[in-house]
Amino acid sequence: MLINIAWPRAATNPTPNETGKLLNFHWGWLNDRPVFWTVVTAVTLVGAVYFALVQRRKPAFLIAPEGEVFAEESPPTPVAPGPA
Amino acid sequence: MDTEQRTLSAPDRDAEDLARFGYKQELRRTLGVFSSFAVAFSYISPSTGIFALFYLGLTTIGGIFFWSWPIVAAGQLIVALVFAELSSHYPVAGSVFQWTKYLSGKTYSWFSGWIYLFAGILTVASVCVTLPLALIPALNGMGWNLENNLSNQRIVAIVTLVLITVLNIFGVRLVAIINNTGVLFEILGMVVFAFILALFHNHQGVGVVFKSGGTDVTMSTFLVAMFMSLYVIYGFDTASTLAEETKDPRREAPRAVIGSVIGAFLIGIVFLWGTLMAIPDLGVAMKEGWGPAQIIDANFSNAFATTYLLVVAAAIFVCCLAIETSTIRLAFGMARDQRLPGSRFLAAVNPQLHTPIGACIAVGIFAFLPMIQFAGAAYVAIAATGMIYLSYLICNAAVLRARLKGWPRTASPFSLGRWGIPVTIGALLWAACS
Repeated sequence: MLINIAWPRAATNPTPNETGKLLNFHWGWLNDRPVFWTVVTAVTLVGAVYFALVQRRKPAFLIAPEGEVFAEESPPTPVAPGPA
Repeated sequence: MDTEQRTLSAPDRDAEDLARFGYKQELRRTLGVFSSFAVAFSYISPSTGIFALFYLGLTTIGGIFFWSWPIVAAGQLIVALVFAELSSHYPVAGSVFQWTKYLSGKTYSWFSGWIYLFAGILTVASVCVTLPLALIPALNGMGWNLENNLSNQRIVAIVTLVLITVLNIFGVRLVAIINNTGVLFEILGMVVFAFILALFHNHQGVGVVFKSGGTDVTMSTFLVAMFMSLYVIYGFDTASTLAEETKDPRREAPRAVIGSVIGAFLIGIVFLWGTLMAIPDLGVAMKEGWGPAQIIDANFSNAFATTYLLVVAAAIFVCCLAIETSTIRLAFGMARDQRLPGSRFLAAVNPQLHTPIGACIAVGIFAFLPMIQFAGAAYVAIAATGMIYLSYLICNAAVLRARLKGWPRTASPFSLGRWGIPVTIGALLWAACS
């Protein structure tokens, strides 16, 4: 599905220039990129910056019944947010 | 199960189960299996997506686009089976984020949650901006005189967004009552309209699903036409993300996840077939990009067409509500683990309403942002759909990796057993390549 949706074509993943100027990011280079690519890139980039600055050093909150944790960070390292 | 657990009441047992994941019961646990199914079904809402994007399939390959519906439903059912097993193991708010947290790692789960959160927010926006496409013509059919332009569409969308946010703040019980009613109307409405169209206005015959209207049907054009079905059949994991508000979630959430996909498939296939049969002139409908509204308008009086539009508008409203409910739970689930900016605000649960009001407001505000640069419902839908399937792909990759390492090691009410690895490979391939 993802390849189908991400495939650049006017019908399902147009560039802003292909929308008859309905969509306009006011930047020529961006107006030539498919809408879905732009959104994914923007969300991921913002997320990456936030993660690197804030989340990277925070320990994982991993409490679960025995045998349910398969994460790399196990064994569990409960921290402040655990409200129980 | 030990003696102490056997003597606990059902709500206490669910709360104790939740405590084993490190969380206390803060949300109100009131949803039964039908409410859980109804919220997931409302998220999918076949009438919403079919109303919005029917024209795309029809103009691309005529009636043959009908076949994209069972194909996508089958593919999504494979994904739903994987999600159902995950729901049975991890009955906590946050679906994709929580599952990947326990199965992969901190960084991977954070990005999957982050992407899924924005996918949800974009989906809220995309469905809110779809509502005016049904509501404005319905109001005009009742004598109003509203212009169906982008400006009015945006106003209706913003009012809808405010309304659903307020309803979500007032609690899941109210949301469930509205959802249950809405789902019954949607199912009844779609089936009734489909049968009336098929029985009394059958212009094309049952073979319309093999008519391309003179267009070349290639793999490429079929994949384009498939977009409507891809846009409709997702969000079934909503039943899982509401696990902390569902009674006996380890049993009921998997049933609701799978039931919502099967229910949507059955209702959708009846409606699509009935609607296609009722097209008076396939060539004209393809050329002019007809949707269900035009087809019903061409066969019935203004009153009947207006009734149909009102049923669709109600279904879209309920769909908006369910999607926002689901997205709020994801935001709450991530914030509770301190994984989002302003986590303390987003994770705070109001003691009277038992809802995370901060998360409700934040999701509402972020869903408003795509409406600022509003160019029409279709473009928001493209971004939303793509992001959702990216999240599904990321999640299934984590599940496959965990399965290869031996997951699951504990028993659960719903289990794929030895079919786990082949089904997950199928889900991964479907999410990536189809």
